[in-house]
Amino acid sequence: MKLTLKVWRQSGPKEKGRLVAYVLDDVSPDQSFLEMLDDLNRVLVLKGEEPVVFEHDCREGICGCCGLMINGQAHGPVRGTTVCQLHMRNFKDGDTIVIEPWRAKGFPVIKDLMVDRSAFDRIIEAGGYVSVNTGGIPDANAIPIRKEDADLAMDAAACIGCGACVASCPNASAMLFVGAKISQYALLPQGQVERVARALNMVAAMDREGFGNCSNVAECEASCPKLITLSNIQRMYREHVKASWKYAPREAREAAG
Amino acid sequence: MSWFRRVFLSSIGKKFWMGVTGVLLCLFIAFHLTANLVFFLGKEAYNGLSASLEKIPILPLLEVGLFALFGLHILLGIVLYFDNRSSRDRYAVYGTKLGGFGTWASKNMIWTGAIVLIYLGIHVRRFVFSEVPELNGHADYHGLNFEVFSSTLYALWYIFGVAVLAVHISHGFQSAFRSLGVNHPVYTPFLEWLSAAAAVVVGVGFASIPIYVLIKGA
Repeated sequence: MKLTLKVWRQSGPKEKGRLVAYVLDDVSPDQSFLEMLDDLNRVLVLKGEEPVVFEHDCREGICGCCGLMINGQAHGPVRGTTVCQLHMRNFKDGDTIVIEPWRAKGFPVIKDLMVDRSAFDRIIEAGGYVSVNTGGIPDANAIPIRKEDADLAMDAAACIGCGACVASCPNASAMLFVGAKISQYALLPQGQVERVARALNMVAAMDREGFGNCSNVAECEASCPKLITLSNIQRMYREHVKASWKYAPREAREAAG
Repeated sequence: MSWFRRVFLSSIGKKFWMGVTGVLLCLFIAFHLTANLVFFLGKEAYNGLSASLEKIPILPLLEVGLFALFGLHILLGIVLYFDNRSSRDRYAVYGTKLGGFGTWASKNMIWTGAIVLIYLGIHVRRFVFSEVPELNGHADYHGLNFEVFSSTLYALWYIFGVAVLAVHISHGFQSAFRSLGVNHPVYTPFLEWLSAAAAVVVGVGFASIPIYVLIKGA
């Protein structure tokens, strides 16, 4: 296939970026999107130009490193997939593809298509964990809980933290991500000890990072590679409202540490 | 973070109160529409209802409450809009993985809301703070409708205004429940359907009087 790529090039966080057009002559429909970018970089390196910077790690769709806005669609046109699992057969010969980095105030661009997603790390640090003694992993079915709850927790835990929800949200809201991270613990017995503090602290951290507010557009759900559902956002609301209202300021302060 | 900040100023707190005020305003609109449709039962019924509503002892209190409800809803809408605007960054190309009118309505709540606000200002000036014609020594609100909608331009503007309100409600009603933390595999699809139905009922219901007057006048 012959493709025209319009790639966002930005040499540093403070620099002005622009879209640069490149033509690739023989793209195989069997290639993944990232392999196609590898090809582009090989051509650029042979020409002595700067290769395009983009993030990737596992290339199996499970790590959450890759993330590109392809023609304005997070992770490209296919639902429930990451860019690394997107194949070129989803495009036609002669297509023009515009490739941009995630854009949100919470995700500043580092270079080209690479953004700084450490805001997510700071939200996780605020409460996305359970404080238990480490040791051998208990059998999953040794925990006496309803299968429905285990399933919901697993669905939420499938989040890979790629940031597509923020990138595709017209408000750059991180509520699907935070909702998933709060839900996966709220549903399990191990998460109960820090339940109140987690809801309060993670939401406070999310607000500090300057992400927007959910307005129930559902663009996040549509672009999530792991098909995380909006119901996780509602669970986060319930967790936060309960934690906010139920506890006197002093108790909540103590719970929130 | 203090209790007040958590409950009112956190992102989720703001959405919560947006939802509360939205649902309460929907209740007011339902009441207002029901009262409006009495218009079609004739002059006596409509003017009688207007008179009995004016006799409610705590009416000023209700009016202040309603005004506060609108005020809070509008204030939150503006605050959330600027919050969100400062959070996002512009793309060169916009795509979507969703489609349909619901998405358009949900992404443009601030603008449909702004049009409804302008419409409301004119509507209140025209219907609340204006001279009401008299009939046998009583206020004739039934006649006021004919008087106001005799202006074709105003009638068309009114119809446009309620159409925009309908679009606002089509997303807002179900979205409010989501903002209150309601999401259920059975009830949420029903609420979405109800939201669309409510929008049609509100749009058609409020537009019915000006349309009737336009047709009758013609």
